[in-house]
Amino acid sequence: MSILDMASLVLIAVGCLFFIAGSVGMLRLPDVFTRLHATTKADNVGLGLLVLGLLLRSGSMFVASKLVLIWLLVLVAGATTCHLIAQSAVRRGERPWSKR
Amino acid sequence: MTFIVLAGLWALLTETRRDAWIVGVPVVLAASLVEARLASRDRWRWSVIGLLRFAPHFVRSSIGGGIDVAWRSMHPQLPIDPQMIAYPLRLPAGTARTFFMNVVNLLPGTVSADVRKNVLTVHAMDINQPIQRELATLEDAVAKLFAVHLNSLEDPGESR
Repeated sequence: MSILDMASLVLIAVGCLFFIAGSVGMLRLPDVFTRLHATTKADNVGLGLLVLGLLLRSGSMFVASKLVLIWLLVLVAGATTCHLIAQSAVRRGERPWSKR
Repeated sequence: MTFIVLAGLWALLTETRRDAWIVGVPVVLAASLVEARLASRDRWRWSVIGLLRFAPHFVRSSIGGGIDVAWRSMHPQLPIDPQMIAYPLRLPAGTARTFFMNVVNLLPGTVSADVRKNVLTVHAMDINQPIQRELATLEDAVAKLFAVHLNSLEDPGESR
């Protein structure tokens, strides 16, 4: 196995760990706002690492640029949707979970 | 400009196949026209130096945000202390402000929830962290990126 394969494997594996952490957060966190934190942030980093790992073994300019394009689109869609869900929760009077 | 970008995207998606342009040309034209109608009148520009300065900051922060939330989710005690905070915006309404609100979602511990009268409501994962200072740093960086001037807080400037 070449160094490139190794690096790509490590990146993909770590990316998957972030996806797992995001899903765990989705299940364990107490309310809509905290869950938004978990899904948007952990998944963005997870997808970023996944795309980086796949880039190393894409072998074609077109595949590589499509991967980057997917990454950018998910980044924009994630951030925007996150804001829209949070905004509609606030305007509907959802109370954020609090320790106190 | 939009036309060139869209045509480039189409070329990318179809791997520059000739016959795909039968569909591509009309679609790209139609999309450019729609964009021209829908685009905000708000004129904005990028500063290349601003982008080069912003990119590493953005990458570092989003990785930090991912690690932070992953750690909190996996921790047995679930160490969170969330609260809504109000953040008075200095960025004028428009593309730069929208961009800022989107980036806030990717940073450690913050989600932008609502904006009213130049005040952004931010949901913070852990209120014990210097959220206000981090938001101010980010706002400065976004202002440089878009080459816009920040309103001072005493004089809120024009608002929509």
